[in-house]
Amino acid sequence: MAARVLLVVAIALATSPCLGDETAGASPLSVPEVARRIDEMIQARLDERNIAASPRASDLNLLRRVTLDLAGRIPTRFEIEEYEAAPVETRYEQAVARLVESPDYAFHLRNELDALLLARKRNDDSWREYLLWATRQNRPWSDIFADLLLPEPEDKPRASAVAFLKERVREPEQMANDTAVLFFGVNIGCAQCHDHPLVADWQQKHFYGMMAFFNRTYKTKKETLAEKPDGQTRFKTVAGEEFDAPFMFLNGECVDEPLVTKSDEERKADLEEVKRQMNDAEAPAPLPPPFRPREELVRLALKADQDRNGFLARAIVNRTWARLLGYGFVEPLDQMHSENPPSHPELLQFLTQDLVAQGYDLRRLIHAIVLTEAYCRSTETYENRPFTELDSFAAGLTRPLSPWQVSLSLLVASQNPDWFAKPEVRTQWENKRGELERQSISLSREIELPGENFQVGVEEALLFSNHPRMQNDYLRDGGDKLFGKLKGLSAEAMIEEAFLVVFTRRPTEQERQFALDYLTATSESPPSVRQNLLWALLTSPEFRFNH
Amino acid sequence: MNHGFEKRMSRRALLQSTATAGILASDMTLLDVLQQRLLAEEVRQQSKRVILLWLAGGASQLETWDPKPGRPTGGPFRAISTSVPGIHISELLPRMAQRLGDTAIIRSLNTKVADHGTGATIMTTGRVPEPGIDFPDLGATVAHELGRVDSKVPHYVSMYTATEGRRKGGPGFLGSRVGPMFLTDSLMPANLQRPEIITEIDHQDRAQLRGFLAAEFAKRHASPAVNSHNSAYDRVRGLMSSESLFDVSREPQALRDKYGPTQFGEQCLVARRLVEAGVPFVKVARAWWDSHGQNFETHQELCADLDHVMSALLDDLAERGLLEQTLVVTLSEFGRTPQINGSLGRDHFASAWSCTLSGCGIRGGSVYGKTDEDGRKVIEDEIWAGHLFATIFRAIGIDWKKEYMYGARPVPITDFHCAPIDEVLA
Repeated sequence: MAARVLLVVAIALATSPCLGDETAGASPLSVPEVARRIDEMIQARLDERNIAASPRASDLNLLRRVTLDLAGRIPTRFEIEEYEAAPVETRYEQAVARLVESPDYAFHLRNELDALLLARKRNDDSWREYLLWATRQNRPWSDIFADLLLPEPEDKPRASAVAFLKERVREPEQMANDTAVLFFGVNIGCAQCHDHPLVADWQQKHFYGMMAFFNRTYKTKKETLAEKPDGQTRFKTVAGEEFDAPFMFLNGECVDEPLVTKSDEERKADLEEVKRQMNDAEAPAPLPPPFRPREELVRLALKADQDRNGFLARAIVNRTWARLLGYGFVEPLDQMHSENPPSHPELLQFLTQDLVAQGYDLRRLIHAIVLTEAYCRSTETYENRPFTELDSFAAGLTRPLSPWQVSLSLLVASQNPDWFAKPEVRTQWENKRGELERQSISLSREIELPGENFQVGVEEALLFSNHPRMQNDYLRDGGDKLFGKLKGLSAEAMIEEAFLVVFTRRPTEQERQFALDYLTATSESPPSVRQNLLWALLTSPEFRFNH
Repeated sequence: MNHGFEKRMSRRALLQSTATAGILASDMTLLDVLQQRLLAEEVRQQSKRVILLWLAGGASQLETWDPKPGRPTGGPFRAISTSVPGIHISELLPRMAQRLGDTAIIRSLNTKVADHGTGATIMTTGRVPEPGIDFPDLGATVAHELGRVDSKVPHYVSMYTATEGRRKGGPGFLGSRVGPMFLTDSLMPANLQRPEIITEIDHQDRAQLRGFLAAEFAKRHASPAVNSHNSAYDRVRGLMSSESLFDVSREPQALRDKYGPTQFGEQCLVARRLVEAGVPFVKVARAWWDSHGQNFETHQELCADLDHVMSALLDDLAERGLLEQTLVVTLSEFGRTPQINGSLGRDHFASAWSCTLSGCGIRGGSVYGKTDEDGRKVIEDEIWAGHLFATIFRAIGIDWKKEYMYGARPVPITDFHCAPIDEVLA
């Protein structure tokens, strides 16, 4: 453990000059250096394609964007003040450096990984605790992958990583395909019934090869996972021929099971034991078989990354980039195959190799990406160019917030902003953040996980328009609430404060005038008009999206 | 403190001034769609819709549409003749027997999977579930094809039963824009009514203030997702006006009596009000047909309810001239075993079972497919879920060969190798 911490520190301090060699073994590039390399490669493509990039977004806009991406919530009033007080040249880098080390970072990455890996299919607190444990220590992605595929029942909190497979254990097809989609960026589901019609890489044997690694996995009566000592995966082609599926990784590398000859009695005893494990909660924990297919899969996947024909590192790089920029180098994210080349092959390769060489350090990857100019570009659509090609990364993309980003941001926005500045709140921020996290759960469950071609449904608009919790939770009049503060201010000050807290910016002249006219249309205004304005800010797309 | 009338008016005048003009159409909350003759007429002529009567748990084909009287598997009930010469159904459905002129019976479903979860998924999505892709259910597909983006009514209303547990369907990869508005115990969907703590004036002010801010943002951030956010909010006030559609007390007592006082009856009356106002898809689930024990008592009770309500619904739709635009489907996750078990029950059975299609686009009085004399297997015109779905699509004018794109993958709306059944189509 100590050695790992030292290693991370060493990486953070390393500022080796760029020697044009990004291979493993050379001293690692610094994070800003990685960011610079990314921008060079993006710029090279823009030059080739003769595309002009959008300008950098405004400072406050960037604070909001990066706080949502790293902390999973909008910035507090206090963070805005701190940011504006810092020197213009370095305030963004400083904010990023603070955020990647903040407790919020681990909470947010946990939430992102939870949505990616379990997609809310089950509510499992111990699984979420496992993920938080992993993100807090910046656990290498390769280790998280191994934890999920080889959960150790005796080793807390890693044991809780079992939820990933347990949710899918009824169908080996599901375990195989979801592992391929989520960890390797390939959807081989099509190859279940026939060779992929368009992609030579994906044949039935790839699907069943992957499935072979999971086919012996079953759930015991005690709700743990176990592997049967034997079992052959077979498949039938469209032509009706039957084949035995080898244990084959996606790059074609196979592993042979050591040949064991067993008597009929031994086989029968094996079967009986599996049956007992499935039906008897009192049975002693099953012994792991000598040959464990899932262990082989983890070994092959990591070896492939070392051999530079892997999938694990490449897929998480693509996913992380897509999460932060709104679009992947390869789209769709689960179609990383030879017929669907990346927009920036050299850049994807560079980041993949850096990730592997630096011990699958996700924080380093994320940190580097948010420092790039590409990440910082404005999302505003200008006169003559409403859209550029998405895969050029010439402009920022407006992205829907995730359910927990919405819910947490609503809590932050509706809290009395002075609360965040209190010294005791700041020193106990990790606990406070944990509280906000718990409070945010119930609303976040009502909001859809954004997927491809996300569209907001009318259910959400009805919820925000008519559910009493909007009024009771977010617009409530009380000393602990934003509205409690706003109602005591002059109309002008209320407008300034509300825009700054909710949108992380000041109102435009037109907005200021419009809001002022509304609030002061009559000499005496009921408090509800201020609530109405606040509601409109909170339900505006400017709040609902990251931009 | 109290909001004077003139004060309200000046604030409202501001919101309706140039700043917000064009953002919101005229306010729709006070509109009762059914009271607007012209609108109702337009809706009536244009769109097709579907009412799915979902017999949750698995209804027995032998006690409904495919009786086998006098056989060892037949059970105690007789078959009766119907308004269509040559067609016999169970005596438990006497009213439907007199109304088969608009209904086609399909007796040859072989859907293979007889567990509730997967069976329900197959029969609501029209195909076998696959890892890595979440297929939309029938309601979401119909909502996607027939729902209008600016509609003042919901696209898809689903009255499911708590007994079904989590198996209530959904929009899958089509996304929540075409997802169902769910109702379970209450006849009123969530969040359709203005909460009492907000006045009507404030509610309207909010929508208009939001409209102003949203338009400013959308000008600078044009994207389909941002637009969908605004169109969802733009639909709110209109949808709230559809609140009255869920209120059966607005129907004459005589008609309510025809549907009967049961929950299923009231829900079907709501379903009629909804399709009349242009809702493309309404599902009404009736539970719980899973008669592993006492199959015959269970069916005596549930079939009486089904017979009563379904015949009232078909009559009501026909009298209003709506049956030609409305397809009524009865369907389950599977049927029940011909074999009667030791508890006088019938178990899960997906190899030879029945469903019905009535009204829009259907050749009434027809029977498709045949099972053997004991109902153990299909002996003529076997079909799968995909054929049924293709038939439903064709009946309501949806191109059944259409494909959606899910990422890079084309997904046909009809399962592979399936086509509509011409014999039951008008």
